[in-house]
Amino acid sequence: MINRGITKSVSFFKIIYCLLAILILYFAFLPVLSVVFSSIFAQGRGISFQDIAHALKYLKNSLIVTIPVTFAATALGTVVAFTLQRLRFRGNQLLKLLALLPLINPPFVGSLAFIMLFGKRGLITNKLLGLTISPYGLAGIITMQVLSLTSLAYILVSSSIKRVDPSLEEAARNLGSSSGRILSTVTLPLMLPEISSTALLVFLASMADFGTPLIIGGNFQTLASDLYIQITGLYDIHMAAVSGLFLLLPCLLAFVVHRYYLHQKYYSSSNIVSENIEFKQMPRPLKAVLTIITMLFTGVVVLKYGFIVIGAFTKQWGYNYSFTLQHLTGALTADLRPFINSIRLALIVALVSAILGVFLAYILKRNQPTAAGIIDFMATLPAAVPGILFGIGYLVTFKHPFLGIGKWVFPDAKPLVLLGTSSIIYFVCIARYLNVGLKSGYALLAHLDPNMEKASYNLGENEVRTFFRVTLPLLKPAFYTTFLKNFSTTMTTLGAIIFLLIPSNKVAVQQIFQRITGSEIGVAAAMGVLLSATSLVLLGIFYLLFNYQEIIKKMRSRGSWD
Amino acid sequence: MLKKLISSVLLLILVAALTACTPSSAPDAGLDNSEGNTLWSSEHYDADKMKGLSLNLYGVTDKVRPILDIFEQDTGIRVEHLTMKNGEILQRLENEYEAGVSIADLWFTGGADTFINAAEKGLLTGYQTPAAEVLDADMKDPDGFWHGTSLTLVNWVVNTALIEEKGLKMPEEWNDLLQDGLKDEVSMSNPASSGTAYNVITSVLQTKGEDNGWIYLEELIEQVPFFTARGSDPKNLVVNGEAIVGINASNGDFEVEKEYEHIKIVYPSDGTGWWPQPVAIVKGTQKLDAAKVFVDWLISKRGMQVVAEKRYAAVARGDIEIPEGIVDIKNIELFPADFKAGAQNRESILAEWARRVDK
Amino acid sequence: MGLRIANLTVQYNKSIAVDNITLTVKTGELLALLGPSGCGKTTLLKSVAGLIPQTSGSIFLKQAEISSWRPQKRNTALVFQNYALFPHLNVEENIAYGLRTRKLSSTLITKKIDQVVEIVRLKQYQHRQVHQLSGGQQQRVALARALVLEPDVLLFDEPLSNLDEKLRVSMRQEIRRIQKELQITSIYVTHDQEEALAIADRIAIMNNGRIEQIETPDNIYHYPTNTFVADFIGSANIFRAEVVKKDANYLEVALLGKRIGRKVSAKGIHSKATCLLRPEEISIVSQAGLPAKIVWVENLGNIKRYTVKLLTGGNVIVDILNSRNKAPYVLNQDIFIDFSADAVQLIDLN
Repeated sequence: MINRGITKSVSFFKIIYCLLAILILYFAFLPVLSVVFSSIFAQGRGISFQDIAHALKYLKNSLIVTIPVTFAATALGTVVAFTLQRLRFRGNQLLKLLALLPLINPPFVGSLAFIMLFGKRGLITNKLLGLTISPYGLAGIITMQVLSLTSLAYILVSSSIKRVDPSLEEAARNLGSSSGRILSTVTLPLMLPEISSTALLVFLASMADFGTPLIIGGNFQTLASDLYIQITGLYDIHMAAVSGLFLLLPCLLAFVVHRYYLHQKYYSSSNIVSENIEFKQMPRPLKAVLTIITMLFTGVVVLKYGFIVIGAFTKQWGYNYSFTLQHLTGALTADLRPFINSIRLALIVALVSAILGVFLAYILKRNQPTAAGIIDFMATLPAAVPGILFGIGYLVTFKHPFLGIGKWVFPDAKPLVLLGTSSIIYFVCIARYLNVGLKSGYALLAHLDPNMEKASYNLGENEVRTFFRVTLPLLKPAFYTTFLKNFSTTMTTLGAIIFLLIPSNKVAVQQIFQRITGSEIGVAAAMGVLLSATSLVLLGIFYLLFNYQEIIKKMRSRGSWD
Repeated sequence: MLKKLISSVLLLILVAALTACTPSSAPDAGLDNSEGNTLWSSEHYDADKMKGLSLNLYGVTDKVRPILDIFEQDTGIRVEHLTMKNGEILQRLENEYEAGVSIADLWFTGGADTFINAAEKGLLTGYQTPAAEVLDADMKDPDGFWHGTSLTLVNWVVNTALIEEKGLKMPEEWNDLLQDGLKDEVSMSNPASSGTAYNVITSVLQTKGEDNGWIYLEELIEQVPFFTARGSDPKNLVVNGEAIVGINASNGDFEVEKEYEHIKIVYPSDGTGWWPQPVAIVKGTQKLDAAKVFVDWLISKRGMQVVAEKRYAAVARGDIEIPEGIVDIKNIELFPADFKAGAQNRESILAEWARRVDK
Repeated sequence: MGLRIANLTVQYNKSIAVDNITLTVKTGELLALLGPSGCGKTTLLKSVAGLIPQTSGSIFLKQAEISSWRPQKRNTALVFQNYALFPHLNVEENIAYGLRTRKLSSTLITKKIDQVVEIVRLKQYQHRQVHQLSGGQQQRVALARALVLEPDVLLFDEPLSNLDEKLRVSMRQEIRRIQKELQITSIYVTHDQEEALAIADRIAIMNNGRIEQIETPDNIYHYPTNTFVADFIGSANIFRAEVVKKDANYLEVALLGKRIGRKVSAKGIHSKATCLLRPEEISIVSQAGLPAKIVWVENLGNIKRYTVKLLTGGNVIVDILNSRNKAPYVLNQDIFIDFSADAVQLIDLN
């Protein structure tokens, strides 16, 4: 009887798996393929020598930005993470929180704040130091990207630092190593796999960033921003497609190299999560240097975001710093639907991508179905594709009916065209962020005892019921982290959806982008602040909802002590 | 108990977010309804049928929103708009045409050259609105593919604080941009990606003649530290003090000047470029009649008046009272304009420009 | 002299983990630190290594006070409970780690590694990755990594707790063999009394941050000084006995009809004294003993453990060798028990 139950539920998982596989093939993989094909075969015009020369020029620019940014942001993020997680000093906890700030804000407004502070007539460079240096160009892009991507690196590396077994450092110390030697021979090498995946993500984010070069690049543009200009300014979709191909290739290359060569080994396989383990006997000068670097970094971050708030509440950013609420009321009385749309988009995308991602991780890891490797690859691939390109992939794929293949099969099935419906941005975001759920699902499953499920079968439950009653509750943490992460990312995403929006379904980030273009800087800043505040409040609510049991427990135990 | 409570709260938030409908943006009550409705008419208008209908509109600015709200007040037809760059609109319309999907019904605001381009590609529907009879010939397409609604005028955004600080001459004519103090302080967009800059080049070439024109442009290039991607960038740079003079395009309004004390809008005394801001009906629209009503309304005295007052725009009709805060085009020297020629020679002019920039 | 710890106290926040401990480990001796979890034994070990700072007191190693030395200067070698092998290094690199730190020449390093892998019998695994090894092999690598440094004191932190029973027994014999062979002063932390009894020259029983008793395995088993030690090691019948006679250095008590006199000073004892009688010291006899009834029987393999209820009241545990030539007693059987007065240990005297 039990046997029959398992066979039945196996087929249940098989059906779900097939369904998911098909969806991933269509919504995650096909658009990437489309980008490649459309650039090679677009509009009857092949790739010419000039096209390649043009693309190569911007590729060079992209790499000039991305390579130093990747190194600097990863290194700085590692330093900040190590300092905040492993060293003890005053204000440590506060800095931990502040270093996260850039994650909840759309990047465009940050670039403006940067100009106001460090521009030719910037508050710091000009008014304070008497310099007139132009922030536009390479240095500006690199600085901005390093600032925002260091925060990303900080978060990713932090989690790996927590998983370094402190007894290894004790062993090294016991075997006679000085602190410096422990750092270089044990602590850092152990973090290296995670640092390399962090570097990959920083690399991809930097390559994909079109907003920063656009706003402060001056005449220095990268492949991503050139792509945007090609489409919006030059009406040249063909050139854009060629640029897109050249943008895609290094990203895919980095992705594949990382996936199949660098990512082979992970040292933190044990369940150890060591919160707040101090790195002891750090030589004073080194500790001082690390602490100062960290404080400087968080200082600049706070300066930047504080300045955005100032911009939102003063008359003329940069000229007249008298208090006003006019920008805020301007932002609030403007059409609020984009805000609501943003929230709705983020909610649904976070919910669906977290459920599907974690569920898929479960099926791939536990049931080990056919083609698991391929499905995993296809589902993870969109993470490597710059958002704006992925959006273009959707554009060229889903302008044809019936999920894109109807071009040949059902040329007249117009109602099934996805392009131009308000649902397309949901699909694009879910496909793009599915991998986040997949990854946290894997991470959690690696620590879950497979015998747990066997125990449930032994007690007479079938696979489906076991999944819902045993596995699902255990997978909840992965679901929660994915939800929170994808919610905040989707709230500020623009690249992937910018070419897919329709008039009745605008989102807040796009509104901010428009305001910046229209030099309504105060309103843009106010909207930015409003958007951040909204995400922050919602994230807080979700966090409370997900963790209320622990929080109550904590409060109770604290109450009993006092 | 608590668990139930919390999950119901979560559910509530979800439901609220999912069902949250439009907080109906109250239409502007500034313009008197009863009077306004006598100033327009459309043979395609059917109040009962069209009430609650919704049209989609592409454009290059969010400033059209108040105009669309008054249109809704007058007709009951709601118009949703999406703001994009000229090229993006063109690209989208091509895409949608190819895919056979109809998203946009209307296209309002943007550069005339993109409209001409789109008309040639067959992306627009021709419609001769009776209201357009009073328009000048260069303000409308002979086949009715587009109608000009207002003028976009090339002007300079000047940071007066910096002019004073550096003791420079306030620029009045084009040659003033070449003064030594403005080296690296003039901001201009890239003509390849911005209609504003392209228009400036063609205008200069048309008025000064090929040879003298290129000599002037070469000197101008020397003054510009870098060419921005978008036409709106120079204005932002000047406002932020990153440049002193920015070559800009506007409707004839003085909004930047009003908003920022240190900014002045200058119309060069020896002439400036211009182009019409058209409206057009997108081919393939499922709501052709309602779209026609919009064009009729917009080109009517009523519509033009609204455009003048809400956009502070120098409008296409001559029979509209010019509200405060708009430049009177009669006081401005306009370069002669040949948009068609400008659109046709685009590639060769841009190639020549690129050659001189790279020199 | 090997290692001397004097008045050592270690405090975390407010709680005291090691409370004013003084002890000496002789050169070449293996001292087992035995105690329940949380008694402070690992803390004591790690403060000898310098990995946990002491609050007060001093530690002397080979006559030198090392209390203020950095851990890397102390020349102590710690074998961790989870081995703490570097996962990014292979077996040989793990063993060489401490030698490289000491900047030895590579020929010398190779030589030393060759020797030590011989000793711990890891020759054929030298180039393996750590995660390819079994638990026992990883344990040997951890041991080799410590041994190769020829430390002044070798510190074991529950080194066998992650291994299964059989492996644990063979590994502890091997550790003891190597330790004796190389004459390395060692402290061996464990919570397993059998392991401590089997491996140690002397055992220190720890409880609540203090040392309850330090003795040789034999003495700690037969002559515990207090209830905690008596109860912690082996199984124990503990009685409260009437004091019959008490002098400055003589105490006599009455226990189950026998008189037990000892030449001890018992300042803390008044009307009653605590006595220990190990279950194997009691025999079951056919007559002329204390009448009792068997109420529970456990077969422990080499012995049978009977719980008997005395007719006069109270339960006693009795261990009888489980020889197949001997008919076992059964549940509810009426029996007599007997013991020798010499077998009784008076405890908790002070």
